[in-house]
Amino acid sequence: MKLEYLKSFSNSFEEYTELRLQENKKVSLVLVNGNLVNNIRTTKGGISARVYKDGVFGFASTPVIDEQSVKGVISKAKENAYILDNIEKKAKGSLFEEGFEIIKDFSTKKNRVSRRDMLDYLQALHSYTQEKYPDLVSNTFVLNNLDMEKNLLSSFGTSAYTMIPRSILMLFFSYEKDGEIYESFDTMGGLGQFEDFFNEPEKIYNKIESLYKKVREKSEGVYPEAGYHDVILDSKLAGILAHEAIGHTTEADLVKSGSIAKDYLNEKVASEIVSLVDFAHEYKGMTCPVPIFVDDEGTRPEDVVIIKDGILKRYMNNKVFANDFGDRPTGNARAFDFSDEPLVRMRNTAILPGNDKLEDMISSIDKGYYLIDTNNGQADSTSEFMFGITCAYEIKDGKLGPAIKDTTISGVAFDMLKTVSMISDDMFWSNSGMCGKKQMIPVGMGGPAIKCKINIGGK
Amino acid sequence: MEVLDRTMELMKKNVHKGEALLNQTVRQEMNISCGEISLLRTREEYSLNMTGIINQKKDSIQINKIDENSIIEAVEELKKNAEDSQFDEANDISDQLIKRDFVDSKTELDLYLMHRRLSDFLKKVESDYPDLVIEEAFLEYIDNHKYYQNTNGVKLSAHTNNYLFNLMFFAKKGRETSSFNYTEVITNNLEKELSELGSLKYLLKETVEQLSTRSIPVKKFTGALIITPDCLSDFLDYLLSHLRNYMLISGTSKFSKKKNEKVLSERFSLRVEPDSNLLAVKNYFAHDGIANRNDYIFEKGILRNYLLDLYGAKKTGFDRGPSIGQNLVVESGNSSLDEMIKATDKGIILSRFSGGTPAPNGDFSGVAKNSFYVENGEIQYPISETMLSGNLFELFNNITGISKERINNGRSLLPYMMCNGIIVSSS
Repeated sequence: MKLEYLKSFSNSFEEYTELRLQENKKVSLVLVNGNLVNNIRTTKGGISARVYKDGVFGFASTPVIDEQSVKGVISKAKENAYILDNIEKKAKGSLFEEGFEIIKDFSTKKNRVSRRDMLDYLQALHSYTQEKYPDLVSNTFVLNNLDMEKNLLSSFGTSAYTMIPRSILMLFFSYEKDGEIYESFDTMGGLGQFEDFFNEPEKIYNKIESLYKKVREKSEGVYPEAGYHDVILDSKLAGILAHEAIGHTTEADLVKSGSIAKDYLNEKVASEIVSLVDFAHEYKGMTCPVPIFVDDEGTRPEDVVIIKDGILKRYMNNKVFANDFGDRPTGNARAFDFSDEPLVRMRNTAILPGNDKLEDMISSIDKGYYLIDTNNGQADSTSEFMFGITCAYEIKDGKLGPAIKDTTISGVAFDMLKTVSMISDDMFWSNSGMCGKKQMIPVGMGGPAIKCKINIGGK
Repeated sequence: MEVLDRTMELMKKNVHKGEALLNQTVRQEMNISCGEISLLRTREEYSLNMTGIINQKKDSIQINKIDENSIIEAVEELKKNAEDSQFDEANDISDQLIKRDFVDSKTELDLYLMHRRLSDFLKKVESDYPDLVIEEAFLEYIDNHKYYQNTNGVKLSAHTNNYLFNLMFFAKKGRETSSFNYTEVITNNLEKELSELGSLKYLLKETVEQLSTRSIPVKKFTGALIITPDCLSDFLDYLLSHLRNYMLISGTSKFSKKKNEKVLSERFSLRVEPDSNLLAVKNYFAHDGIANRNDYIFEKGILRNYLLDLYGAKKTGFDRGPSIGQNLVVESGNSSLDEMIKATDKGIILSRFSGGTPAPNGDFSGVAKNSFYVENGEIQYPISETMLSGNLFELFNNITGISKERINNGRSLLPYMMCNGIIVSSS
């Protein structure tokens, strides 16, 4: 076992040290109009060491795993820490050191299938789509599997093995009307391997039908009216709102730098019906999309209640920022590849459900929009956010109207959250989120439907 | 290169056609977090990408270990998966039979100079822009050896090394916080201070000015847009996606079968310069083993080339591009930035665009970040919560000016671009 191998180097630690042996294995297949344009397996693995010395870190990594290389990265990380310490002379205090042991393996329990089986699965989806909807300009099926296997050993007694897989299927349909091309997409899958989600193509047919309907409706849709409107953000959007609009501003590195959240701790930043939590690995007894049982600094993670009843309560941190803010480490230090250093990252960030029904929320709006799907989003230090909207409908006199064409919404989170007047009683977890902050990393995002006021781009 | 020689031996025994691309990189990175230098990182990296074709069926594997056993195992898996893959007559490898070693000018690693440049940069920020916060930054020395071989006998290699400076920053004064901004610059050496590189001196100054913003004076207007070089690079990415594999193969590109037709404003000329001294970064050859060349993509608005790789070219029947789209150079125009501002009745200087990916028909909308309101030929004030809506293709057809000034960030050389007809709205 790799963890046992790692433990054989524990006597090489002289300073605070984290030693991580990691392999990320990805399989990606892309079928465009039945053409297999991408069919690749990528494996990136190796060993890295990070050494702390009086306020600075040294880091080293190599893909070569043998006794000499492992000792080499420990020694190089220490050398880098000493070089920087000699120049910088920060003389800062020690880091939190509390070790524990954990093993968590989410590998499939089913028999593994071959690449051919994966391709056959995609081809079955393509054939069904092509036959049933020949008027589509294109149908694209993308399958991405990522197995992230980490072994972590620290100088303070943490030893951990985790295997967190994620399998995502994406569907993109394009439809032409009056010489213009419209595209809609859907994603499915989540925590697990291919075999856990994608055994029978027939189970996806209803998603195909629904996506076809969406792209047709969009092609006949109207442009939204640019400006400030009453909207319902579907539960599919609440997660990205939690992540982009609020989550990023409450990451301790951004807070320390001076994000707007720095000024509002223990102040009202949202309507009192809004609560927001970054869950480590479990919500109401269910495993979250990206369960983190140990972070990459060897901390046992805890849930972080960021906003409770509209009041900003806490930031997500790592060991350095826990010291800076006089808090415990929350277990948010995460790295993507073996050669990446851990950064303060979100895990499973969600707005908590309320007591309202979606139908009542829609019928409460005279003129506005029901916004359902997004293809990207971005936050700002000011808490201003934007999301690209790819599926939405007009609301007139409390009823859903025509679809609208692609648009963008924006708002200042700490203002917008104060306009939240209704929250639905359901909860949707997005399983396919990737967050880019120096390194890309999988994240979970969740929430209910939300009624609020927001700025919409349009004509 | 022994690793690739051995890989080719194995490929020839196991697949009908094969190619391999090996990148060997050493990176030395110094990191700033929350305004302090706090990490020194050394990374040794390998990336071996192998593609095998059997009976026109293709599979690819990328590994980061180059020992004998790892390569043997990977080639065996490649063979199995290629046999099980899908027939496609477009699957092929390069027959551009060249053997060439490209060598860039040598840049030596100087760790202590890296630290001095970073320290001096932090000191300059502290003295000249006391309200500016360097949230995250890194200065990295990158030494890269890149090798390509295929079973047709193509053999290419390139050795490049340079420094990369990447930073994210915003301004903070009391309870006022500006939008963040970011940039990345690549340079062959550290002769200049970091603050002199790329567009940094403008970006740092503008970010501090963004501490105090206002809404545009009306709810909505249609006006001019002056796009800064940093921001133009995002719009070029959107535009060039219509010249790449996915959109041309899927039939969703606006530029399919438009080669040598005028599709954009005649003011707009875009070149790729993968092998030129204009830029610090060189891209001598691509993953398909074809040597890149300097050429026009758009010449006075006429589409001259696609950015397809070998597979994309064979699949669509169009020519393989002069490159697959790095090292962009937009030719300069006749106006100065000042003249563009003076010519603006009502509009926006757009420094950063935070928006959704444009729809295939080019419609886009998004937030104008780090931007300024312009009226009656003068910059009025920095703006907040401003939304832009327009169409990508109309934007590049309605160009009213390209600046004489251009910003060189080592990867691209881009001017300010002015266009008309953008809807600007505010909450």
